[in-house]
Amino acid sequence: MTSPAQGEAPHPRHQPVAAAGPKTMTDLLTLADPERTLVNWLLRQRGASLADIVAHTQAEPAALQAMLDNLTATGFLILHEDADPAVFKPNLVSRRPRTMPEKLWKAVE
Amino acid sequence: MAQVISIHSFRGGTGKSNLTANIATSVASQGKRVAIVDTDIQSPGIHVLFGLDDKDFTHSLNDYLWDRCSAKDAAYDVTALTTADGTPAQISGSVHLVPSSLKAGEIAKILREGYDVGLLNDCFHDLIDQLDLDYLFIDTHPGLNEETLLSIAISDRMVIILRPDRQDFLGTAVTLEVAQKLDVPGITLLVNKAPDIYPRETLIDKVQAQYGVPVGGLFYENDEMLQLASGGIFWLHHPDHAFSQEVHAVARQLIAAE
Ligand SMILES: Nc1ncnc2c1ncn2[C@@H]1O[C@H](COP(=O)(O)OP(=O)(O)O)[C@@H](O)[C@H]1O
Ligand SMILES: [Mg+2]
Repeated sequence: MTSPAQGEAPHPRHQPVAAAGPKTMTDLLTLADPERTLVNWLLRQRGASLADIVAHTQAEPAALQAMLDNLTATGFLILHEDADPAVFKPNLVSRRPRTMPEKLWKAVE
Repeated sequence: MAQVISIHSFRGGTGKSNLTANIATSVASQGKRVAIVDTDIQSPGIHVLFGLDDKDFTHSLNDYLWDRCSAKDAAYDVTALTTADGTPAQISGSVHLVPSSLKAGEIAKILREGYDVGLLNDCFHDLIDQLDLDYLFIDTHPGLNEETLLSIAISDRMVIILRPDRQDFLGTAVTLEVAQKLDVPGITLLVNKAPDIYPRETLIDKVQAQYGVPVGGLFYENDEMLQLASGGIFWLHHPDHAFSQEVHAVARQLIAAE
């Protein structure tokens, strides 16, 4: 198989990074029901504005804002302010624990 | 709206890739536009069933995740399938396949570095838009890991394949619990490699009672499948076989469930 960018190290696409994140899918499973349900929904939606989230959850706005603030502070969500209106997106990565020694990775790379 | 269907099994060798390829092509034969993404990054394989090898593709899912190509560029049209005697198969819809890289270095790199989960999700949606899909099937790595959790989380329907085997039974229970936590809207169980000593209804009742989830199909272990040895799409080679009839029945159910 030939690759178009031979010789050049591939760079992962960049997304804004929150201080406490990103989290993993396993972290998502540890959230309490209401938080997890909200992040699950945002994952399916691939992000939503505050207004959309309010409309979907029908939650009391102050409580919802507190939940969103908390999920953002803990790194599960990022508020993308470049969009108008701003959208909350899940901040999740796939990264496995390094069970293979570094040397072995190097040998196959 | 396109449906995202992810196919899981707790252990390898359950028949996930073979059933995914068979069901997806059956759905396509019923006029639907279908794509399959091989997210089994560690042990890719479904391309083999479509007669592709690594020389046939220049882009893979990995390239998309590394921003080297668009989703469409990594999708190969595999609709032109042939039957056992070499005549063209009657597929009125279409089938695209997004393979996972077969290069050891690329496999190692993505496993080591991971990737943004949102990107894999974007890839699925790009494929749906760019290929105008009705169905997107996700072939996954066995067991529960970060990638399988993601495919579960974003699918409209999850298909879990199990063998009538105690180890599969336990693993399936865990997978179902996780699926519940991830709010999957629909779950279907498929029993594969059933020994022919078990009567169909008895086995289906037993599995349904065990999990409280509907069994969408039951496939017996058979010699023709072993002989084909992943050398093609089974139902195209053995159109009248009971296995093939069951594949079409499952495909019809998936279409009807929409
Ligand atoms: N019903 C069946 N009867 C006999 N052999 C089967 C059956 N289903 C699958 N196989 C065989 O089992 C092996 C593993 O199948 P595969 O689809 O690669 O499983 P997985 O993707 O779950 O690892 C293949 O050799 C395949 O031909
Ligand atoms: Mg497989």
